[in-house]
Amino acid sequence: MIRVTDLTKMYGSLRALDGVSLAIEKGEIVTVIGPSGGGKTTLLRMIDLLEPADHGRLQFDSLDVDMHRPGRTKKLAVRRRIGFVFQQFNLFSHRTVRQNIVDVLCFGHGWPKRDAEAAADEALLDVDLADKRDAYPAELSGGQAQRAAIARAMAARPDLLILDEPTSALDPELTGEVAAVIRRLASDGMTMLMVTHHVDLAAELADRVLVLADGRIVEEGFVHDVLDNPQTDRTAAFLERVRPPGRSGL
Amino acid sequence: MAANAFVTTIREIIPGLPLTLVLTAVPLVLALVPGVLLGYLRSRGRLAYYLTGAYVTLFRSLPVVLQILFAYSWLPSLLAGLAAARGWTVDVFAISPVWYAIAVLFFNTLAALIEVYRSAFSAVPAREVEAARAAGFAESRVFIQVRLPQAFMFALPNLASATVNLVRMSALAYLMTVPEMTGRARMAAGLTFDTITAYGVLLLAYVALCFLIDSAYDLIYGRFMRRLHGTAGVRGLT
Ligand SMILES: Nc1ncnc2c1ncn2[C@@H]1O[C@H](COP(=O)(O)OP(=O)(O)O)[C@@H](O)[C@H]1O
Ligand SMILES: [Mg+2]
Repeated sequence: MIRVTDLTKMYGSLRALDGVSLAIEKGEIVTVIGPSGGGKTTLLRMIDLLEPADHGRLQFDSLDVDMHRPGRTKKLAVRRRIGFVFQQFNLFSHRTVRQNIVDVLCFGHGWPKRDAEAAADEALLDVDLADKRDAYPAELSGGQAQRAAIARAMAARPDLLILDEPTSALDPELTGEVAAVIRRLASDGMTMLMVTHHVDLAAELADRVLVLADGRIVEEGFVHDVLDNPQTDRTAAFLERVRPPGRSGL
Repeated sequence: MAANAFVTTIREIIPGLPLTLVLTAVPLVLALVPGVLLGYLRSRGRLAYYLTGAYVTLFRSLPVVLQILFAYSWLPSLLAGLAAARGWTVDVFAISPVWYAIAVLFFNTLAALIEVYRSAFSAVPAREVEAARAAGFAESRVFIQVRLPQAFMFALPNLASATVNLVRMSALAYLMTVPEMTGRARMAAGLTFDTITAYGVLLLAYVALCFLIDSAYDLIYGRFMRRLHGTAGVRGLT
């Protein structure tokens, strides 16, 4: 469904991404793990065409995009097919939870207001936030804010959901409610590309795992192969760090 | 008699209030749209940053008194010369000095508002802009739906200062014989020979006016408190 070929991104002389290629099939859940600063966020932002890459090709079904110069039309077309969930939620702080979703549907997708409002209410029911629909983001807990952000990303029924460490800005006791929402989307067959340090969640949901370090995919494979039997020292060391102590394997 | 002087002063000053308000409101309203747009450009592009910076610095460093005197003595002759050369039939010297005062105050207010909105636009979180882009907003929509409303909100406290500053600047219009509050207080002093009362009443009038303006802005800003700090923030303040 989506294929990225030879993606390179430089920040000055820093090679944030160095010839990354990957493919995701419809209904597949791919997680990306790897050390901080390895290029995970950059990879997700590049796929959503939020910044021009130095080099790379993106194929999204029939869309074929030069990631260096995507052009306005293709850029908007790709972004409208992808839902993006950020580490820090990034809700519009001047808008209520419901308005956040309505705005995305009206101004991002050109829906009529009435349809957008109906869809927003439905999306909020899905994440169990109907009672918070008129709250402002500053009035939400981290878990509520991230569920609202997921509702906003999902309201237009995207083909692909991208999540950048959706639980890592949350207090540990709040990760569960967000993980539950992600779990439900997974069981509904949603195609996902997720960066997470939550190895248990990755192990539970993902079909495949990519390990990204220094801008390269250093290891890739089925989830249990990579997590139980890392082929590189880097992956092993990384897993060692993020796994709760006293546990091995899954 | 002091009581008499007091009444005379108030009677003289109050008719100057509408002009003081006009000298405040008109430049402010005129400068708002260009101030927002130039402030936005100043917060973004490099070229726009330097061009608007030159303008802002110029008007910040010129004493307003000097600008007023210049506008009052030189500008009319300049315009008259221009009108003669072009064969226009306007009588430049018949133009009310109020317009010259408005022009000077406008240029100064514009400089202030460019700075107010530059900082307001810079305060809009880049992450929310990115979220709007990721959701498929066109750049014009990002501006209208995210940048502009947030910048309006962030600008309010500094806009209040700029407005109060404008009220104070407008007092200098008396130098152009514009009969706003200060000019009329001087007239009252001439009538009663009681300068203490005349300027005392004037001072109170400005304090009251600026207090009302500040309170109005506070009221508007208060409505945004929930968005900035949540209900806990509002509770913390009361
Ligand atoms: N906008 C940027 N400007 C300059 N350097 C950046 C920018 N974004 C990311 N980087 C750099 O690129 C590298 C990869 O960052 P990132 O993708 O955020 O890593 P990760 O998400 O894996 O922690 C880091 O060294 C980071 O400092
Ligand atoms: Mg990251």
